[in-house]
Amino acid sequence: MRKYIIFILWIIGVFFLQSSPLYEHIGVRGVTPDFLLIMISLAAFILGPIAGQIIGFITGFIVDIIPAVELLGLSAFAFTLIGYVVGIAGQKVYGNSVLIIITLLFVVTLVKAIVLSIFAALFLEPGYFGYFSHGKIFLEAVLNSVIAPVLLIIFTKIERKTA
Amino acid sequence: MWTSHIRVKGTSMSEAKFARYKGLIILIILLFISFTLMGFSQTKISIQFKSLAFAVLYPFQFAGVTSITFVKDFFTSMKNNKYLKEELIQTKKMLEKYERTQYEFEEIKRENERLRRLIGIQSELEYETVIAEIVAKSPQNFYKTLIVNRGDKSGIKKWMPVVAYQDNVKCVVGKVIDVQQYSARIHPVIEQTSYIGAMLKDKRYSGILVGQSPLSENCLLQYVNRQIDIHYGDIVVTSGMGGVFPKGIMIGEVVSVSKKRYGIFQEALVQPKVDFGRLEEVYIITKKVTEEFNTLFKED
Repeated sequence: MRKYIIFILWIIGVFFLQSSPLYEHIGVRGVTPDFLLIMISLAAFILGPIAGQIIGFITGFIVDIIPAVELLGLSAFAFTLIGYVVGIAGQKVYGNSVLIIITLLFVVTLVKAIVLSIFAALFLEPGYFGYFSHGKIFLEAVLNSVIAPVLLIIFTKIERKTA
Repeated sequence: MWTSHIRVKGTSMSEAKFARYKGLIILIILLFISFTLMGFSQTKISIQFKSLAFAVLYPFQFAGVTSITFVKDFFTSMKNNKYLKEELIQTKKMLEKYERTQYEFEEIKRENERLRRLIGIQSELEYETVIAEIVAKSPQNFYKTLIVNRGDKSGIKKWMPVVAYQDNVKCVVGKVIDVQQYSARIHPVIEQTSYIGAMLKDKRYSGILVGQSPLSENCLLQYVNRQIDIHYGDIVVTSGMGGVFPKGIMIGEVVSVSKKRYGIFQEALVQPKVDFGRLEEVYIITKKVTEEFNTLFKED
């Protein structure tokens, strides 16, 4: 239960951070890491696929409410899928969790981009389709992969301290 | 005895199967819900629901984002404290300069009005503006939606144009797409679903400006007459067509031109003048959007 509370609080904090104009200044070459994606992936990796996909769905649904573009359910779809996939990987794959997290975050960033591209092109404008192959995505994937292990270590320390 | 045993065994087997596939079943249900929501996103009910949900979410988002901004501002102000005195002296000098400029501007304006009257040109309509602070943005990089702290209570209405002053130039930011009591959502000009009437300032040929985000921060000026020569650096302004933006507001500069071998139009890539990364406040032009446009848009 403690793990759930820590993750929920982190996700709420990250949601506010990403909503703030300050977030634009965190990036490298105009590309910012997706902390929400990182947190959902870490939650799924530690708590399993069911918790991961439910957290992903709720977070994605809330994220979808904000944009002025009318496409409800897009982020919810992507984050639910990612929550499940990372949760399954966390259960099945054994080894150095830092290395696994790095690889997983790189892959799920690309998965997120592909899902967003396909559905935005299908429901909004065909021009969105090129998004997944854009150079920015690969840089975002690298940033997410680098930041995720650091957050995993911080989470482990917080969890131990609050035990 | 046998029947009851089989039933018990059957139940436990189906329970075990359910437990095994529980994750997958939940996944299918959640993905189905998400997909259905996407399918119904453009309907009136969904748009109203989203607007209502945003109204509920906004106070929490505002409180959270304000706390983060407060912490950041606190540390920044401590760091910048020593530069304040120097800045104050410079600001005073600038103020004196602007006071002189203001006087000259008033003179030129009066002369311009007089000359316009002489040659019989009607003055351009000037609209009132409401200054609004950007308090939040879309948490996903995929969208560029901006949220401001002015809403219905400040007289803001849907489709009102939004501009900003950067480097002393008034430039287009976007348009208001949703209004709550104390907040409004702005659809920026760089968003791929944004279309505005634009024209080349010097050549006076018009086209439609389409956003390209998240693929690019530049916009595409489409449907421009193929016969004219567009050059790098040509200024693009609003054409006033479409009913939202007043005519002549700066949009950006041409950075490249593409002419296909066939067709009657050409396209130009336009770099917006406004830098969305350092945008802190905007001006909402309190211009009533024509009813015909409103109807047209709703029909869309």
